[in-house]
Amino acid sequence: MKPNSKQISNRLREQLVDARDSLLTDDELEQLERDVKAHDPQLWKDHLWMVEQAQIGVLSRFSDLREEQPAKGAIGRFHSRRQAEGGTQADLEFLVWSWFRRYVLTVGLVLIVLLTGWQMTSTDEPAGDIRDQMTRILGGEQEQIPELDHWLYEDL
Amino acid sequence: MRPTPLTEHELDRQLPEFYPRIYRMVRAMVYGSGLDPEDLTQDSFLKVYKKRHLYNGTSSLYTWTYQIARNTVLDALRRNKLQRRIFFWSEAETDPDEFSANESGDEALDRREQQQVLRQALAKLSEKDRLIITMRDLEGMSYDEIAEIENLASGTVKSRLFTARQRLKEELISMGMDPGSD
Repeated sequence: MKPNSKQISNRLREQLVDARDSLLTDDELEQLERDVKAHDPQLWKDHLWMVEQAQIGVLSRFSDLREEQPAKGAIGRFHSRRQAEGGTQADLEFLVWSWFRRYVLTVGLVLIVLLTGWQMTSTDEPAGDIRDQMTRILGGEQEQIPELDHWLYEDL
Repeated sequence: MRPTPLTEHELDRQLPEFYPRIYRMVRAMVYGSGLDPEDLTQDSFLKVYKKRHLYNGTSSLYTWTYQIARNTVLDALRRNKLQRRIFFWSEAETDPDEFSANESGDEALDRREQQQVLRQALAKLSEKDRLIITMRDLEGMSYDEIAEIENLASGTVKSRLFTARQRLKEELISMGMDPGSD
């Protein structure tokens, strides 16, 4: 399949980065220059700017930034903070929590599912049993509570 | 895969080597945002110590640490941006040594001023562009390392890097840096 313009542009950008890293031979570089200029001359100008600035211009200041060090005693302050925030105690809490999450919650969920399933099958009683129970609880005879029959069985 | 979990002792041993590198990345990322790079570096390492049992050795310890720091910084920047929007905070406090490129006009910029201009231009880029330039140009990480951290193909890293550098160029020029100037 023929690459589209964006794919060509991305491939040229990749190669320009290789060129800046001096990974191309002279022939490859010449070919790349031709290809880039044919596709988008601005890319080549940008490349030349980047190369120049990396050698003698503002982009060469990255090497200064690379030398930068954290403030004196930073690692000591980090260890102090770590101690202050619990250190090994916090680690232990984290481990206990992850253990709890992994095992206790999983087992709990399985139990809930099993119990719910068991309860659903075991409560499948005939409607008459419920009626007897309600009668016993309310202390009345069946014929004395027709309204109970009404709301108790209307959906059954 | 690691046969044994990463110990605190191992991390203690690597800390002096990792800390300055992570700090530089954090500082470059939060420059001009008002966030404290030292606090954020510490936050990152606290997470590394806490989550060390999750390190499985499939990537280098430094890459793994860097990923945690990267995520910590990006989260902090997002929260910071959101807070600024919610509370209508104005411009972020700037670093005490921050320099305005406009003040110097066409005068030749000395080394220190150039560093500050570079930091300011980086701060104006999107987080994605800033991060990729920081990883490659500031930290000197390999394309494979960056690809692993960003979960991208190595070629994609290069094309994105080129695009990010183009945007950096535009920012530098808009700040008064003549493309041909030293």
